[in-house]
Amino acid sequence: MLPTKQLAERLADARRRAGLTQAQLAERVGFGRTTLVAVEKGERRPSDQELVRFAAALEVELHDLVREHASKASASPRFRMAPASRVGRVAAAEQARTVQRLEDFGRWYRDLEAGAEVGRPRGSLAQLDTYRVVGDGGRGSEGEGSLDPASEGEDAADAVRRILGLGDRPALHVREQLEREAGLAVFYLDDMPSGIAGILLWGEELGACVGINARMPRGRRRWSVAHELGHFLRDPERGDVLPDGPMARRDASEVFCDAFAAAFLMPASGVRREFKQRVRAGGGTFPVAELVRVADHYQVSFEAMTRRLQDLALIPGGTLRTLRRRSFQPDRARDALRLDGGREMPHLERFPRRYVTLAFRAFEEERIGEGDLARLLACDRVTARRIYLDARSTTLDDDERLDLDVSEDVLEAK
Amino acid sequence: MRVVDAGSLAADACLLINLFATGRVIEVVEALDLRLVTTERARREAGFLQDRDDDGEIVKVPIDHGLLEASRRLQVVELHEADAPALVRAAEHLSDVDAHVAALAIGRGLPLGTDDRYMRRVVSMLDDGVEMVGTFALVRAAADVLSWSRGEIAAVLHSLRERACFIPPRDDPDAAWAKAVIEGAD
Repeated sequence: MLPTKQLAERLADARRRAGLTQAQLAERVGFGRTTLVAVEKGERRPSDQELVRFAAALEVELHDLVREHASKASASPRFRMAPASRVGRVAAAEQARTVQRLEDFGRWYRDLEAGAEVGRPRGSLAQLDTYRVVGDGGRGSEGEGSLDPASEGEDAADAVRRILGLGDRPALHVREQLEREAGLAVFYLDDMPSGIAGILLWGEELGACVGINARMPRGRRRWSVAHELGHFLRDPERGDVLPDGPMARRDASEVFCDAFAAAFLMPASGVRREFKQRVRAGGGTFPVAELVRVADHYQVSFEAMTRRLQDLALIPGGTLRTLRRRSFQPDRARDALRLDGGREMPHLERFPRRYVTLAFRAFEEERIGEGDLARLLACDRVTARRIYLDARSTTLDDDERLDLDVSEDVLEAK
Repeated sequence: MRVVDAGSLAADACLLINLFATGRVIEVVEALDLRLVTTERARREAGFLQDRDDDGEIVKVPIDHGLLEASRRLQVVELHEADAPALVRAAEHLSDVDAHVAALAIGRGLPLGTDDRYMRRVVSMLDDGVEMVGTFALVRAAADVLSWSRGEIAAVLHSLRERACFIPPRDDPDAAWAKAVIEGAD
């Protein structure tokens, strides 16, 4: 049974998250306010009946209130006070729901780690504090003596590429590296509002969690991850909500993160070399089709690639504007060139691989049930069963299925 | 686990899915004279099976609980204040969906139908007097009562695997029986 003091803390925390005063919650539960105060101080333990009423009044799972083993993860309190204004087309309530969803995944990840008695790896990127800002964080005003945020963003990207050993080639398949080196857990969410491209949450226990809109095209998804990585390096405590679309106001922090994303995904020296090789191969020309192809090579959007080439003065400054005026449609060009835009993500790729492995292990070891597995994988129970079975079996040449235990620890193999 | 006597059986989402996947759930519960008792949340969570479309792609197929409810073989109940102690004890270990069904079994003295290994372990720990039964046992008992042929049983077991991706508990005493039936029918 959960100690009374811990239960009291959870109840008080849940009340604050629900945005209720003590008086409001007391009324909902059928208490006097002084009784609720005593409960939240740990001086009075609610009865079982009262606990059920608390869960209903707070609209939380009873399990989350009373379970003994839970990580202490919670998003940074400052971030929980989400901005009251709209982000692009997205209302504050929708934002808050999305933030809560990502926080849930982050918390479940921590719970899986706690259950398996493993810690989150903390590599070199997590200790890179060269680009951290303090105080205002550059949001809204330039700090005294601050460097140009765009230049800083490019520098930061170079530093990160060096740490990850990427050289100046395209940054493909770096997700696991980012998790190992930065502790960045990236979740691709199907149910994010269309106006939000990405979210960064950070907390002492939660670590860094990034939520990316799974319904966006691949290039936009990758940009969003890189943008949030920029925030992680610069000002993680503040979190971030990245709108899918132009921002009304770009402060120093956003300038830094956009510059970081551009340089991380499309490093200047590599892009220049790639551009020159293609121009040479094209007999001195660089048709729009090559622009589409090089965007695919770096797995970024056509718009991002065109802007980058403009910024590096490799193509004329108004190229993107001109192409838009001519109603050029990059998606159709990509299809015509038979390039895969990579829009559809396989379901399991929406989660960090380590998260999935820990979930399977917890299920195998009977520390969670089938319903928990479905919740962790954001799907219905039968789909969760299928995913689990597919992960631990393979089809041999004669269509016979061979059962593997992919969660088996090789180090403990007998 | 042995098959339970006729009467009410607390059924979790896992068991409901499996029984519906057999394609013969009404026959099974009527043969055993069972009434499945569950909660609204568990019923909702037993929402989908899978099938394959004409292109062989997997599609989700909603489960229609209506026929079973109409025949009064599926009863959806709400918990009362008296169930709170069992519910809270169960919720210390189980998600609310499963804790509600566990509370039916523990608090109201019903046998529990589930194939979920974690659910079985927790309920045993909370009350080792709770009788438990799984899908294989129910199918086997119904097959006996209804005198199903080996081919009919194999078809039901095949449907369980294909439509519900059924994962039998590792220590299921009827797993060997099921394997023998399937292999014998191949």
